[in-house]
Amino acid sequence: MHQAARYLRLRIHANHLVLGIFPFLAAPYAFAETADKLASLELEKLMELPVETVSGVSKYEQSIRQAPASVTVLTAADIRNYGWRTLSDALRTAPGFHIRNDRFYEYVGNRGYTRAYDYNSRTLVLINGHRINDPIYQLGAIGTDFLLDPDLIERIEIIRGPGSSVYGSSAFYGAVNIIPKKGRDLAGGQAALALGSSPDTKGRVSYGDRTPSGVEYLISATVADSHGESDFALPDSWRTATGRPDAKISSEDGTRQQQLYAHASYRGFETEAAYGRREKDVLPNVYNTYPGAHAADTRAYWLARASGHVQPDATLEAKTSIDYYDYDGHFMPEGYGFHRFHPTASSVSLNHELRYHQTFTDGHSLLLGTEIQNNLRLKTTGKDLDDPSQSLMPVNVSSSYVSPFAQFDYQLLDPLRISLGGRYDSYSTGEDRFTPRTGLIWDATSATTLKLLYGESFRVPNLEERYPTEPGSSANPNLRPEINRSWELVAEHQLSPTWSADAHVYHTQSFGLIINYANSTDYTTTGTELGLNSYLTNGILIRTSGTWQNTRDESTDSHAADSPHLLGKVNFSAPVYSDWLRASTELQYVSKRDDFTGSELGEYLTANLTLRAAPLWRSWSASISLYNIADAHWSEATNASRITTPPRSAVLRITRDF
Amino acid sequence: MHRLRSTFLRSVLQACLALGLAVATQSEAVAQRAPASAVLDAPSVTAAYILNFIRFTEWPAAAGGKPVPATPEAPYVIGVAGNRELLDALIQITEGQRVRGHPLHVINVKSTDDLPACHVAYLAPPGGPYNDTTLRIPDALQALQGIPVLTFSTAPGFTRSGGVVQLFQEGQHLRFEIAADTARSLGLTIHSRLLALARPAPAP
Repeated sequence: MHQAARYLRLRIHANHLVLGIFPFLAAPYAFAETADKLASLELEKLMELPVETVSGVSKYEQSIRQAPASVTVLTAADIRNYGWRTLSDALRTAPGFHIRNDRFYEYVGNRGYTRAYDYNSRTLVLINGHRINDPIYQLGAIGTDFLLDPDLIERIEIIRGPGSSVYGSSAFYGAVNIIPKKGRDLAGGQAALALGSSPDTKGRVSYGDRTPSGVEYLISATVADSHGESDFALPDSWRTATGRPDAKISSEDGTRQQQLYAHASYRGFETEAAYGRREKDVLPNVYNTYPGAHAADTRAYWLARASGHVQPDATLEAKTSIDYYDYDGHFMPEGYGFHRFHPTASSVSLNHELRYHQTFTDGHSLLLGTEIQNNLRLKTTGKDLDDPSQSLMPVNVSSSYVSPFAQFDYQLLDPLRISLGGRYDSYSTGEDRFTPRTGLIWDATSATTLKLLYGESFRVPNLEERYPTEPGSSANPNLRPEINRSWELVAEHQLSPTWSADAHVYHTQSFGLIINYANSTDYTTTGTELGLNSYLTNGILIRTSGTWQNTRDESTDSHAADSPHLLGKVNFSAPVYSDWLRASTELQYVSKRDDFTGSELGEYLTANLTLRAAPLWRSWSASISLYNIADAHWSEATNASRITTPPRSAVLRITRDF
Repeated sequence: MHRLRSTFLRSVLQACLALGLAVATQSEAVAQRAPASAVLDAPSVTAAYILNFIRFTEWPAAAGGKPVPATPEAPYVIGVAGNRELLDALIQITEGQRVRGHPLHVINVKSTDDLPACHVAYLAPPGGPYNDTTLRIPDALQALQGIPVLTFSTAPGFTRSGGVVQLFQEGQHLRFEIAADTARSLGLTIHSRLLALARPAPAP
C-alpha cells in the first residue's frame, strides 16, 4: 500500500513536469484541490473510488508515463540503499549518462555528448527549481563541489533532452532537479558519520520538524575531508622545465568540504539558504601544473518564495533569490611557464520569477511566467605572481536577461494529449532566442503509452568563453548561442503488475557548439535506450537500462570524443535477512571510446555493493559500501590526457536519529 | 542523410501540430467528451480514510493516560511511520480540518517514543526499499499495548497481531478490516457505520 502511495504520488509529480512546473511547487496545489474534495467525502463514497491497482508494487519509472520528456526519478531511499556519495554517483545509474572524473570536477556525458573543458555547462542543475549553474562558467556541479549533502536529498529528477523551453540557457541536453528534504522528513535530529576512503571522514548534524501550527524548518551542517590518492607521476615537462627530476608529491588529491543548508516554510511562504565550499587539491599530471595546486569553489544562495490561490483553479507564485559564486585557484601551470598563477572568479546574481498556473476542466492547463536575472557582478582575474606582465586583463562586467515563457497542455481526446510550450530569452549581451517544445502523448492502451517529442534548446556563451583565461586565447566578439534540436519517440509498457519496460529512440542535432572559443562544431546524435524495471512484492527492486548511441562530430566527420557507443546499467536491491538488512548492488558498463587527444580508452565494467542495516539497534542504522569491488582499472578522458580511476574503496556509515 | 531525416521528422511533427490545433480549436464538445482523467493516488485516498475514521471514532476520556485532546485547541495527533507520501497527503488533507472542534496535527514517527502521544498511528510494513523508518511493527504495537491509539497498517496479519485497522486493496478499491475486540479493549469506540463497512482481509 505504501508502495502504491509512492507510485501514484510520483505520477502526479510527473504530470507537473508536463506542465513545465517544478513539481515541488505545483504538487501542493494539485493535492490541495484533491485533498479538499476527498476530505468532504464520506467513507461509503470513498470506497467506491477507483484507486490505481498496484497490488503491492511501485513502478516509479512507469509513474512518469505522462511526462513529455524522458524522466528518471531517484529518491532518498536509492541514495541510502546504494550508498551514493555524490550527485554524480546517482547520475551514473541513469540511462544515457556516463560520468568522467578528473579528480577536480566531474563531468556529465549525456546521450553521447561531453567535451573537454565543458564544465557541465550543457546540463542544468537545479535545487527546488533554482538554477545552480553559475553565470561565469555555467558549471553544473555534480561532484563534491555540489553544495548540498546527498544525505539531504529527498528526490532527484533527471530529465533527458532539451529543457530550454522551461529552464532557459544550459538546459541543453538535459536538466537535473534536486528536491531537498524538509522538516517533516527529519522530525527531530539526526547525526551521521562516515568513515572510509573518499570521503575519509564525513560528519553531518541535522535538525528539523513541523510544528502543530504548520511551521516547518530544517537546518543541517556537513563537514567532510578526504586525503585521496598519492602515487601520481609528475608531469615530465615540469621536471624538465624546473630541473628537478627527483621531486616528490606529498598530497595532491585531497578534498575538504563544508556545507550548510536551511529551509523554513509556513503556509504559502518558503525560504531557503544553502552554502557549500569545496577545496580541492588538483592533480599535477592532469592539469600540467606544479604539485601543490589547489582550488576552492564556493557557492551560496538565499531565496524566498510566496504562492497562493488567486482563483479556485489558479495559483500565482513569486520567487526572488540572490546567488553567490566564488572560485579561487592556485596553480603553477605549464602554460604560464610554471609561474605561480592565481585565477579567481566571482559572481553575484539576483533572480526573480513570477508564475501563473491555471487548470481547466477536462484536464487542460495553462502556465504563464517570466524570469528575470540580473548578474550584478561577473568578475574574473588571472594573476601571474612571478611575472605580473603576463597576468590576464581583469574582467568586471554585469549582465541580465528577461525570459517570458508559456506552456499549454491540452487533452485532445481522452487518451491523447498535446503539450505546447515555449520560452523567449532576451540577454543584455545581445542574444535573443525562442525555444519551443512540444509533445504528443497517447495512452494507446491501459498498459502502453507512446510519446512523440520535439524540443529545442540553446546555451549562451559563458563569461569564460567571452573572455578566455587560456594562455594565448583572445576574446571572440562573434560568439553566438549554441543551438540544439531533438526528436524523440518513447514507448512505455507495463508488462505485468511488477514489470515495466520503456524504449526511446532519439535524434539530436547541435549547431555552433563552442569549442576553443569559437562556434566551430556541429554534433549529431542518434540513439536508443531500453529500460526494464521491476519492484517485486518481496521487496526486490530492479532497474536496468541499455543504451546504444552514435555521436558524430560533423565538423571533422568523425566519431565524437569520449562518446561510448554502448552503456549498460543494472541496479538491484533486495532484503537479505529479515526485514532489516538490505543488500544493494550496481553494475555499470561503458564501451570503448576515444579520449580528447584521439587515442582509445578501453571499455570497463564496475560494480558497487552496499549492505545496510536499519535499525541496527534502536534509532541507530548503519551501512557499509564497497565501491569498485573487483578493483577494476580503467582510464577516463581528461581535458588534455587521461587518468586512471580510483581503486576499490570502502565507506562505513553510521546514522542516529534523536 | 541527417538533413533528410530531420526534414521528414519536422514535416511529421508539423502535421501533428496542425492536427492538434485543429482539433483543439474545433469544438468545446470534443473537450467536454474528454473526461478529466481521475488519477486517484493511493496516499490521498488513504488519508481520506484516516480522516473519516477519526470522525467516527471516540477516544476514552483520559483513559490509559492518553486523553482525548484536553483543550479545544489541542489537536488530534496522527503519526505516520515509514511512508513519506502518506505523510504529505495527511498534512495536505488535514489542513484547516477540525474534528469535534479539534485541529489535526500530523507527525512523522521516528521511534516508539513518539507513539504514545498519537491518537492515530499509521505503521508502514517493514522491509520495503522505501520504508526509511527504523521502527518495526511488533515493537510499535508492544509500545502501544493498552494505550488507546487507532493503529493502521497494510501489513498482512496486522489485526491478528494487535493492530486495529488493516488496509488492503481489492481490485481497484481500498478496503479495511477492523479488529473490533482490540478496539474495544483499548477503549476506542468505533462507530457501527464503520464496522458495517469493514470486511475480512485476505489471508496473508
